Amino acid sequence: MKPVKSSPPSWLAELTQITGPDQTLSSLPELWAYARDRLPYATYMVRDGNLPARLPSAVACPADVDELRRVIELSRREKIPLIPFGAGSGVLGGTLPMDHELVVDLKRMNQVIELNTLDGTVTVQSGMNGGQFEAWLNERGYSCGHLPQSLHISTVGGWAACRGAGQNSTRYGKIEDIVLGLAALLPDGRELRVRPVARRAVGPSLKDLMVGSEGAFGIITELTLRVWKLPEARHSVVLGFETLKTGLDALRQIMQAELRPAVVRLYDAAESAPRGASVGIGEGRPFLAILEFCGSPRMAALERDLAMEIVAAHGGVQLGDEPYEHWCAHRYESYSPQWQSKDYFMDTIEVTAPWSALPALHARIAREMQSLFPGIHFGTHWSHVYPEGACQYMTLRLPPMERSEGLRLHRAAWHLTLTACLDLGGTISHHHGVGVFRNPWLREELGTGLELLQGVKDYLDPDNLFVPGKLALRAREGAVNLEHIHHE
Amino acid sequence: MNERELMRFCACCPNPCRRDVPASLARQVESETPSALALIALAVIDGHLPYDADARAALSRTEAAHACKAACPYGYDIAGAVDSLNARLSAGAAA
Repeated sequence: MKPVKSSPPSWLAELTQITGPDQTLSSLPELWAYARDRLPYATYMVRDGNLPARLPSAVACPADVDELRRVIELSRREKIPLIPFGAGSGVLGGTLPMDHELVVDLKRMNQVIELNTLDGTVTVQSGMNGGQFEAWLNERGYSCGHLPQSLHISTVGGWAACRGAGQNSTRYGKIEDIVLGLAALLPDGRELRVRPVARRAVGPSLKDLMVGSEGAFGIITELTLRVWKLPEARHSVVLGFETLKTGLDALRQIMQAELRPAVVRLYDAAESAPRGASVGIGEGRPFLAILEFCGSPRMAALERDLAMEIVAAHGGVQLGDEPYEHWCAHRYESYSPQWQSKDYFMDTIEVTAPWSALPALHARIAREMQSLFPGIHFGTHWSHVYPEGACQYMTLRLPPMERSEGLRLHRAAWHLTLTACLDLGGTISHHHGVGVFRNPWLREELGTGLELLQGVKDYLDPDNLFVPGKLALRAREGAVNLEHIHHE
Repeated sequence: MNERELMRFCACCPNPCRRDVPASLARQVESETPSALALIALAVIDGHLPYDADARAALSRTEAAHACKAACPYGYDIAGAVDSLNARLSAGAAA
């Protein structure tokens, strides 16, 4: 379906009174820009001028919490569905308008409120750009430790709303470990405040009702996060392993030995070859790994040395540092534009599984991908590791073909991957979230748990106005159903 | 890379240069980031969006994108390319 201008909504004038004419958007080109996020399916559509789902009805850019509250009050009174929007970097369609929602762009709420160096915390408005936030901290000698590939294309509020992970999560934790407290506006306009304290025993975590809710339960306006002093020392190690199993075993034992590498990346053969060619990967040791230890010089060196003892016991050998340096130089860039702009069907899928399941999970998915489409590019790395298991991050790429066939194969690739994950005891997302694209498999994973989430949603948002139809929650009648589209 | 290929590449790029949009700009609008401008421009070039007053206005809001030029990992000047496209189409429309 092509983008076509429709009549302005009846409430547009009132919305304009709230956020101002310069901060209220309703022209067709502006709405077109908000009709996609970074869901690859959306890219496959918009690159040919097709709507992924619907246009938003309008876009509002509130300056502060008071304006946001008034927008929410209007939404409630006029029954306007809405979607909070940070930087639109999500890859699961979480901000796609499915039913002409009002998009609420939060990027004007972009200030650091307080850095508390005694407590080691920072409080920030949710619309601040992630790269600008980290740079602000670095200038003062601190880091928040959350450094996703999307650092510069995402907002702090988006990190929390989507329960994201940074590339240093093995040491600093995912965002749910870094967020201490928050403020959010609920669908009825009330403010929820969770005090920023280290730990609590005051019932189930209300913080986690918001962290990962993808906006369906409320709009996060403010976050208090842990911060750390910038490390004095960094020690990197580039490794080659003979087999995938010895590489995975070494990582598992490093984590179970209670070491805390900041960066851990192990690549399968397909991903190792291009990254490790300069250091001889492929000559008997086709599996590349990168580790980084940081902190005080003595501690970082000690952790590196202890890890290297484990690596040596698994036949790993140390290689030159070039792959690490290349990764550092490009860690915030995406390889996708060169492919997506030339009609390839590229996507990434990340899951979490126990160590005991990972080898079989990788082997099964790789085998089924080749059966689905011989010659498909399929590469995997493990880059967020824990004592109990790891995130398996997979990249797939299909060549240019008729769009209907590309979409069918793309959908089938997702299905075989997440089916294997669920069969082998994993969870269908480590950090990209659910959005709208993972709805079918989330229903299977959560089972009764989804009924609980729907109950919470129905209590908080009885008119189903906040981000409807995402997170496998009930869609609005008449909304676009991407599951139907995929099966056509 | 011709104009259309450039717009298509940038429209498919996840906008890493947006980090240089000054936080102090009064408008922090998605449709004014480089990748979004490229998406609008591509739709205009391909005839999926009409080149009318709305498109002309949207493509003229390049202040934020100009601030991002140095941060493009690929060295492209998307704001400049959008300005050129808009000037050419505007002149064509007036002729």
